Amino acid sequence: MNDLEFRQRAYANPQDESDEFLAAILESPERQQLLSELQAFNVELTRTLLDVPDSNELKQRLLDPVALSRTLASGSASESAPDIAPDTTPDTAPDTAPDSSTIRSAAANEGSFWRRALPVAAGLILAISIAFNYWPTSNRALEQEVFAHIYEEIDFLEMDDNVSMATINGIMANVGVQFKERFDFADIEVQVASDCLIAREHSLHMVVKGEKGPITMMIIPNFPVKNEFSISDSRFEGIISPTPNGNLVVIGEKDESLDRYTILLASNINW
Amino acid sequence: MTSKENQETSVIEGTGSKKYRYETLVNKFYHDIFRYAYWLSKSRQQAEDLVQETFLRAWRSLDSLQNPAAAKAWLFTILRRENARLYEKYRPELDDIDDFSVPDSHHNEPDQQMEREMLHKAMSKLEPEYSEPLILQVIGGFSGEEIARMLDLNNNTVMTRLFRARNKLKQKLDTDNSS
Repeated sequence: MNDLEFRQRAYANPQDESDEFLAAILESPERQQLLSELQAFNVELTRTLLDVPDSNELKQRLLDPVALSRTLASGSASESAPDIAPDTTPDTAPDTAPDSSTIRSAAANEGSFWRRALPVAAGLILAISIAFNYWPTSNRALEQEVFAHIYEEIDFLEMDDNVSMATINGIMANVGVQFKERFDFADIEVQVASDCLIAREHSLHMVVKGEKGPITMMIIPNFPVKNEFSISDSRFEGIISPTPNGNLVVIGEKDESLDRYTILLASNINW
Repeated sequence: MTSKENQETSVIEGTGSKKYRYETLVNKFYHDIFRYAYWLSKSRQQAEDLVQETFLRAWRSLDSLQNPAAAKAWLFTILRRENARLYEKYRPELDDIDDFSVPDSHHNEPDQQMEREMLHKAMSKLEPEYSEPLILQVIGGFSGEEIARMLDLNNNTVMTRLFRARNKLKQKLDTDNSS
């Protein structure tokens, strides 16, 4: 190793521990001097790059990804929400403080009211929350959710993780659905498979290689639509089909033939 | 690999629930991921956004991580892509480094603090083609071959850029010190 090459390797990696480099160090005191300077410099550089205070609060938020995802989604939704009028601020405290007898009788009345109202309110909240998660979604609303998710995850169309059946089956289990025994994708290459929140449900989001480009396939365990219908925007065309316990979505580039993929999914899944 | 690292790798491998595996990923790599985001974006606010997006994508795609030993490289790659996406979207003003200043450290002597500041400033002005491989090597601990794969370069190019990165920084520091 000549001096020029040694210098280049020392700068590129002062911590190089290859036999060749270690032997080269011993060839001259000048090389040892250079390496010593570079290692000292590297210590200072490492300290500088590592000396970045981070936020424990951020770390705690990251540890609850579902809540974080919802927060970010509602944050982006609120950007387009209309401004709230000033007179919708919460009620302010009364100007005068009530005396203690007023407080006691008011509390007694409130107590009996809330004792009656609370179970009703709780039941109503429970019913609404069940209905919210399992309420018929209009075709248009589901189409919007699907496209919003595709564009949110547009990177998926360029990724190629060479996904295995084991991975897909694991995600399907989370979604509450499975492929029939001995099913595999044969000649269809699965590029991406992910557990995604679509229309507020944990759903399977896959990308496979089509003839005209990547094809997005989704299995969403929400309320089934009434009939199969077509969806499209300026770039994509697709089909949403109902099944007993959810909806299947297949979307590709314009002019892609999607029948094969729709039939593949519909014929091979069990809820 | 220490016994703690072995344990963490086996957790990421899939012996626990998805949430538990994900939490292990966050606990193990959060600090390095934040540092990488910080030096890539040169903005604390953007770094926080990048780190959020990175770990959310990791959560969604955790089952696609087939080799748990590659988890760190996987996270760093997700972050690089997110930075490219966010940078194209927001075009931050890189000349303004007011929020990208050296953290005050009471452990440093004044001379050390000054040198740290000079190095921090020099690093912030280093061109991305030189700073990126250097950050991956120093913060990520990746080898030349690993950096080449992550940046889609050949190994010789990576080594040349690492050489130029340290050479430029050292020259800048020597120049500032002599003035």
